[in-house]
Amino acid sequence: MRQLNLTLLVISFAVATVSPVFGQLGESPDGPEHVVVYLTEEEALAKAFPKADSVWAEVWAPTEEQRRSVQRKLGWRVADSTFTVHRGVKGRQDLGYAVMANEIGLYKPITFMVHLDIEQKVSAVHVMVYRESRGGEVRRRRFLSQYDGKRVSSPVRINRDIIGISGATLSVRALNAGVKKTLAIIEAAYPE
Amino acid sequence: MAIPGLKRLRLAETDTLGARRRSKAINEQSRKLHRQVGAAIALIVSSLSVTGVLLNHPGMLGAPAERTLSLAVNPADPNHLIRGTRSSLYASHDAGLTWSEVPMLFPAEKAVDIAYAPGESETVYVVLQDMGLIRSYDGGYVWEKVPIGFVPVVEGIRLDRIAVTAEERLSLWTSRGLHVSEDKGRSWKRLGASSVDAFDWYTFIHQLHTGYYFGAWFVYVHDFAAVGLIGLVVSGFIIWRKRNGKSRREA
Repeated sequence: MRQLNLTLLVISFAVATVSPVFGQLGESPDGPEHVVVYLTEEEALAKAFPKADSVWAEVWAPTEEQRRSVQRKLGWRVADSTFTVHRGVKGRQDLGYAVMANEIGLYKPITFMVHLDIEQKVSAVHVMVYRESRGGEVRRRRFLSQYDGKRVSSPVRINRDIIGISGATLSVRALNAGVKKTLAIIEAAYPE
Repeated sequence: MAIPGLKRLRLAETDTLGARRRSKAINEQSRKLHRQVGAAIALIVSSLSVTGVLLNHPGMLGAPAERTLSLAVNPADPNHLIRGTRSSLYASHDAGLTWSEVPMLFPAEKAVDIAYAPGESETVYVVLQDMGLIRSYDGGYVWEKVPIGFVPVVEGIRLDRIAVTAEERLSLWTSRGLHVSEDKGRSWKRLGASSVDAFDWYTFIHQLHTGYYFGAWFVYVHDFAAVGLIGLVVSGFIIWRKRNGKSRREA
């Protein structure tokens, strides 16, 4: 019996070790069955602006100079020509900004919403859609709360101000990039 | 009166005693040899364990965390240098006197090669061993990902070197052979079919050995095993010394 257990242990170790070797290059092993919608756009906006009297969307089309400024700040080319920013108010109180971001995790994009307060600090990040079988741990509140209070000057980097998740590094990098990009866009679109 | 049978019996007894003594002596000698070989191997295993842990954590040796993996000079401006390390990309505008990290949306980890396009001092390519290929068309301020069709770290492929021609024909050397693009990275062709499908066993075995194959955290599992081995060797010596001392005292 003991010998059988040992054999099974050795076999499972070998399978776990060698299994990533096989598979098609550059293709996601995950089909549509792995798509999980945690929040719809309405639900995410309701989470971002729970007390809002009204919520609306503004489209920001940066000038070439603004685009260059954002790109310089990020050190990265920004391909989109327009950005949609959701705003919310309660009476006369401005409740901040919410941007829906899509960033590639392993093979497929992660859809999430970044909510910034009126001081342009992150107040919450909500994962809306996750499309892969691995790395889904990034939607946990314990991880996402690390983004709270981040500013455009924050590094938003693993091993600096963000503690990564082993086995979900690429998903964490995608969220970091989305949050950083949102901070830079809001700073350029709504200069304080 | 002599009894012949008794004499024979005594002679036989003496022979048996001699054989036993000889066998005991051989036993004692082989045990001694076994102990000596065991002690030597224990020392080697300890040394392997200690050096293994130190190699996995070079910071413990006071080694600089930012070991330079690549370096390139802007062909049009010798004061402008770009340097790649394990954690990021750094630039200098004063011929290397001071360095600052190149701001980038994604961390430029393991930047193993940097290449300027000949005659185009603003076009620079950087090979990130695990994450792919990036380039800048403004001398290194704004970067973009060059699509190569796969994420190296996910596919278990290691990117090594890049060569760029004046027409931006890209030759990317990877652990699975040469990838070539004639159109600035829009499409890629893999050359050297024999090596294309060969699995990178060296990296695989190396990562298994260090524990990195299962993620950075698994290195600590290997550390634990190494420290455990050292503990076993030390406790083995202590037990052997105690027993040896006891048997000597009894003798």
